[in-house]
Amino acid sequence: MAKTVIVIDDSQTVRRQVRMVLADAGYDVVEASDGHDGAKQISLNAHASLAICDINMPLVNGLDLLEKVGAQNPSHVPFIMLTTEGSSELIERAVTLGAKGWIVKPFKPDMLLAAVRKLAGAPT
Amino acid sequence: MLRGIFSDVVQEFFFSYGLDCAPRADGELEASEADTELGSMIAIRGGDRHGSLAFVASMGLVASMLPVSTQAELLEMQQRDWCLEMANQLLGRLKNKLAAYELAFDIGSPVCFSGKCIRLVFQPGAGVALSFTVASQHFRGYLDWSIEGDASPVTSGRIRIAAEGEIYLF
Repeated sequence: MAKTVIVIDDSQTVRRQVRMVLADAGYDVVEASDGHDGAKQISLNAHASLAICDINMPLVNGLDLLEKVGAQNPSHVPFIMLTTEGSSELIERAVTLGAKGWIVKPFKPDMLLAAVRKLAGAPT
Repeated sequence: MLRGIFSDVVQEFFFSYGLDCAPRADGELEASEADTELGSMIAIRGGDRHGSLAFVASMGLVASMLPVSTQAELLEMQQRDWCLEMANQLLGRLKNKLAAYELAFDIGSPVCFSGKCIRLVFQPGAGVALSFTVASQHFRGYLDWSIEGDASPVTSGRIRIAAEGEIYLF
């Protein structure tokens, strides 16, 4: 059974970009379009191996989602933040909240895949 | 200062997608009436100062940049979605550059609009409007924000900004 990666981004284009890279490599991909939806998909896909999450999103931003998920379940799915943001202040906050990675958009597909393999393991 | 930084942001954004981007002289903001244009605007919120970044581009330029395969029945929706992400990435780049000046702000949620010969008008004396030729098509960028006084970059090295494409694993 393929490992599942949850992609949380308000841009459908970005979700599709990430999906193409990961699905081609053999991962199952679940999409969420904002922080609320992300929380729901994380809850529905407790077996997921990784969440790739934007920061600036409507309703609930990515760091607030990470904080919420961490408060509910300290051993939650690992998060990689995928964002245009690059400030050390935000990166430090993400680390404090338990994020396992940070990628600045636009991403390079091979680099994204390498990061996913490192954190989630091989697709099957 | 802001004009130069904004111009750099726009050019670097397009270069990162492999597109030539050259500034045009002031006053060359006109678009052909035949061109359908797409644009996006995104809010800047920082302390007691609020503003926005916006752009208007030919639909052809937006379509040519779509980083995913297109579907005819969904093309307009795909272009609008990509427009929103372009605004997000442009403002993210601006934010990262201004962090070197210890200027911080929050990024709002972008909105998208379309039309012909779209004009964005600032209050007199406010804002930056720039025009570019990108891959033989037009792009206009607008920044409605200001910096008080003469901001200069912090050189102590204590501000670290992650660059595009960089990956950190913790």
